[in-house]
Amino acid sequence: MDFLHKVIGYLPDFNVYIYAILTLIVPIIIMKLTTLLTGAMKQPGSSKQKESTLMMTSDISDNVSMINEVLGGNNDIITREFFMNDSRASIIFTRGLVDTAIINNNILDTLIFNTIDDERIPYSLKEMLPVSECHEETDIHTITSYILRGETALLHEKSTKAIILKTSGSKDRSIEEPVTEQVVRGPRTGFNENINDNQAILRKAGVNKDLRFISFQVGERFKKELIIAYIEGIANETIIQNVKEKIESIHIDNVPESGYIEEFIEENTFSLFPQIQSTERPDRVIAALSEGRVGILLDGTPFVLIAPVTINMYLQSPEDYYDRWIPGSLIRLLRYTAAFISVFTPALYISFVSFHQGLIPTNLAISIIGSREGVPFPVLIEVMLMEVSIEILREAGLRLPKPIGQTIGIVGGLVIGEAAVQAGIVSPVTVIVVAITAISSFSLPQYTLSISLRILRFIAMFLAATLGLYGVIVFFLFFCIHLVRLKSFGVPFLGPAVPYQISDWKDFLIRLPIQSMKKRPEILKPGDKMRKG
Amino acid sequence: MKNVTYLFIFLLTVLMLTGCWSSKDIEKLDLLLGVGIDEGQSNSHEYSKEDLMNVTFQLVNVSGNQSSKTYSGNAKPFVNVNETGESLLEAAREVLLKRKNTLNGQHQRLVVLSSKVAQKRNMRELLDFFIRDPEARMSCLIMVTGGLSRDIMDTETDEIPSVHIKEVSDHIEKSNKLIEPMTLSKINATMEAKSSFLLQNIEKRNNEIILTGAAVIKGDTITQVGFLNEEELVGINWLTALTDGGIVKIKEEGSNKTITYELETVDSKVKPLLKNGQISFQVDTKVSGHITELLAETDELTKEENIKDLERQIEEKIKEQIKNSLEKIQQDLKVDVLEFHDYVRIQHPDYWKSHKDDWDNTFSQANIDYQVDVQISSLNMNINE
Repeated sequence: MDFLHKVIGYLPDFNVYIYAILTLIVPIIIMKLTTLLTGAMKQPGSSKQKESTLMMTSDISDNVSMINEVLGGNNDIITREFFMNDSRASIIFTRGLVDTAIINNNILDTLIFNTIDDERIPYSLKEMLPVSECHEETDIHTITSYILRGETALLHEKSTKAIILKTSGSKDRSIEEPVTEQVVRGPRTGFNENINDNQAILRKAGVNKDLRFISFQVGERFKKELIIAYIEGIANETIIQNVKEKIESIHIDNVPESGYIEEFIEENTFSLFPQIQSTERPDRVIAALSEGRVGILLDGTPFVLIAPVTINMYLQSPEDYYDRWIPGSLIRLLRYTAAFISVFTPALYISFVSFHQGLIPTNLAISIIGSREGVPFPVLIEVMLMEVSIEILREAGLRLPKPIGQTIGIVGGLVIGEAAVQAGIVSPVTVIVVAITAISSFSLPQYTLSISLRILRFIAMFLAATLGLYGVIVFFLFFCIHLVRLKSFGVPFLGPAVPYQISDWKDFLIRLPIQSMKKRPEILKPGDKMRKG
Repeated sequence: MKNVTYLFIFLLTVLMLTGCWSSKDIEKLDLLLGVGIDEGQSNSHEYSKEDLMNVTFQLVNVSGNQSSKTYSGNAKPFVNVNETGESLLEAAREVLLKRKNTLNGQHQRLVVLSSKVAQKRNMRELLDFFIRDPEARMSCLIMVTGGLSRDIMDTETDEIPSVHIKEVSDHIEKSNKLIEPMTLSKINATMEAKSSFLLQNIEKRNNEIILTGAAVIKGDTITQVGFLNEEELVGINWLTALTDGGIVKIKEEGSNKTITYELETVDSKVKPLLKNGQISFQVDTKVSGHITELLAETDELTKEENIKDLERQIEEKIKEQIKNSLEKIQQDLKVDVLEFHDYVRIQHPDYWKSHKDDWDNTFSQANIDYQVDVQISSLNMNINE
C-alpha cells in the first residue's frame, strides 16, 4: 500500500495529461487529414479525351467553314479570302497574335501578285513563300490549335493540305533584370513570359550541341507549351525519365504558372519545404543544367523550374561564384547563419526569458527585466504580436503600389518600433529580437525558402513557450528528421550533408576556388563526372 | 497504423522526458546576486541564540539599473533584505513575505561569511543550502569578512557590490595579494576531501571594499581558525605559484630608494621527500619579470653584475616573505593551506594513507626547503641617448 502511494506520488498532474493528450491529438489529426487528402488526390482523374480527327476535304469553302466552326466563329479569328491567278485561296489567323507586317508583305503580297502556274500551286506554294517557318497539316483540330497560337493557316482550292506559316508576333515584355533575384555583379538578364525567348536565352549561354529541349503540351483546355531542358551526357537518365513521366501525368484544365507544375511533380506535397527551385535568372538555370539538373520552362511565366534540388541551392546566389571565393564563402556562411537566426531566435529568446534565466548574462537579464516591467503580456504573446504585425506589414508592403508600399514600411516601422514600446505593449528587447529575425529572413536569396522558414519559426515559438529549450531541441530534431526524409526526384534534399558526400562539400557551406571543383556534384549521379577544362 | 503507433510512442517519450513544465516570466523574478551571513541577534524567544543567523540577501533593483532614462539620482541599483532565521532556507522564505517577486539564485555571485559565524559554525552547514539548491549557481564565490557581512553588502560601489567584488577578485592575474577565487563547487570538493583551504578575506575600510589577505579554514573541523594578512598571503602564493602577477619591491642599498620588480611568470615545483618515515618538502620557485619602476638613481643597471645583485636582493626578499608565511601556517595555525597533501597522496600513497587523518599536524612538523630563482628578463628601458 505504501509502495502504491509512492508510485501515485510520481504521477504527473491532471494538467499534464491534458497537455499530453492535446499534443498527441494534433499530430494525429494532421496525419489523418494528410492520408485523407492524399487518398483524394490519387483518385484516377478523368481519362484524357481523345480528340476525334477531322480531315480536310477538297472543297476550300468547306474547309474554311469547318475551321471557323471549330473555333466558334469568334471575331478575333480573321479569314481573308483572295484569288491567286484564278484560283481561290484564304488565310486564317488570330488578330493580335500575329505580326500583320509579315502577313501583308510576305504572304498576301507574294500570293496575290504572283504569276506561277496554277498547275504547280499545290506543290510549290510552300517553296515560294518568303516566310521562315512553314509546314503542312491536314487535321482541322491541329490547324486550329496553330491558329490560336498566332500562326497563319493558308488554304488553297487545289490542295487538301493547309500550310501553317509562322507569323506569331504578339507583344512581349523585353528582357529585363529579374526583380526578385537581383545581384550586384552578374548578368542583368531575366526570363520573360515568352517560352521561345526563354529558350533562346538559354541557347545564348554558349554554343553547346548537347543542350536538349523536349517539348510537351500541358493543360487539357488551355494548351500550353512546356519544355524540359537538360544537357545530354551530363544529366542522369533516370532523373530525366522521372521528370518526363511526372509531366506526362499532369491532367489539369489550365496551367497558369509554373507553380502548378511544381505542385504536381513534387514528391511531398505536405512538406513546408519547396522541393523544386523556381528562378527568373538564366545563369542559375544554366549552372544547374551544367551540374546535371533539369530545367522546366513553361510558356507564359518567367519562372523556370529546376529539379532535383538540394537545400543548399536555396541559400546560394549566383554572385557567390562571380565574386572572389573568400568573400563568396563568407557571405554564404552568413546566409546559413541568417537562416538559422530566422527560425530559432524568437524561440530561443522565449525559452531563455521564461525558462532558463540563469543562462542570460546578468547585466542583460537585469535590462530585460527592466524593459519587461509593465508589459502586460507573457513573452510568447508579446513576440507573437510583433511577429504577426511584421508579417502583416510585409504583406501590405508587397501588395500596395510601390510608392505607397514604402510609406507603409516607414509608418509600420515607426508604429511598431517606437509607439508600441512607448505605450508599454511590448518591450524594446522583443522589438530587437523580432527585427533581427525579420531582417535575417529577408536576407535569404530565395523567397520560397524564407516563407517556409517563417512558418517554422512560429511552430518553434510555441514549442519554446510550452517546453523551453527542451522544446526547441525537440523541434530541431523533428525538423532534421523531416529534412533527412525529404527527397526531390530521388535526390536527398539535405544534399551533400546527409548522405555524407565529402567531395560535394567544396560547394556547400563555403565555396572553394573554382579550380578545385573538378567534379560535378556526385549526389546527382551525373553521366559525366568531371567538369572539363 | 504502424506509423501512428510510432508517433504515439515518440510523443509519449517527449512528454515524459520534460524537465521544465512551468515557465516563469523573467520579470517575476528577484535576481539574487549575493548573500551575506552574520551572527544573529535574537529578537524573539523562539530560537536559541547560537543557531540564529542574520542573512542579507542582495537583490537587483531594476529601476536603479536603468540609468539611461529614469535615473532618479538616489535609486540604488540593489536592494538588501535582512532576515533572521535558524536556517538559510527559512530566511529566504521570509523574503517571500516581503517582496512581490520570487527569489532566483541563478545569477548569484557571492556569499560573504562573517568571521564570527565562520569560526563558530561548520562551513558545510553554512553552505549546504547553496550546494543543494538546484537554482544556486555553483560558480559563486565564497569570502570571509572580519566585520559584518551586512556592511559589505551595503557599501556603495559604482556597481552592485556583489558584482563589483566578483570582478575585483578576477585581478588574480595581476596581483599576488589575492587568492585564486574559491567557488562553491571547488569548496564542495575540498570540504569532501577534508583538506584545509583559504578563503578570500574582504574588508570595508573608509567606506570602500577592499580584498585583503585570506581567511584560513581548517580541514577537519571546516571552521575558520585565523587570518593571513597580505604579506603572508604573498608568501603562500610564491609556493603555490597560482598567480603570475604582482610586484616585488626592494630598497636600493645605500640610497634607500625603491626599485620595483614586476612579475611575468612564477613557477614552482614541489617535491615531497620521504626519509626515515619523515616527510619533508623541497620547493623550487622560478620567477621571471622585469624592472618597471626605478626610483633609485643608479644608472649602472646595464652591467651584468649589478643585475645579478638585484636578482639576489629580490630572491632574499621573496625568501623572507616565504619564511614568514610558513611560520604562520606551520607554527601558529598548523594547517596545510598549500595543498601539499596532493603531492604526498600521489607520490607517497602509503605514507598518505597512514597520515591522512592527522595531516595538518604532520604538515606543520614537516621541514620545507625552498629555493627561489629570480630572473630579470628586461629592464624596460629604451637605450637611446
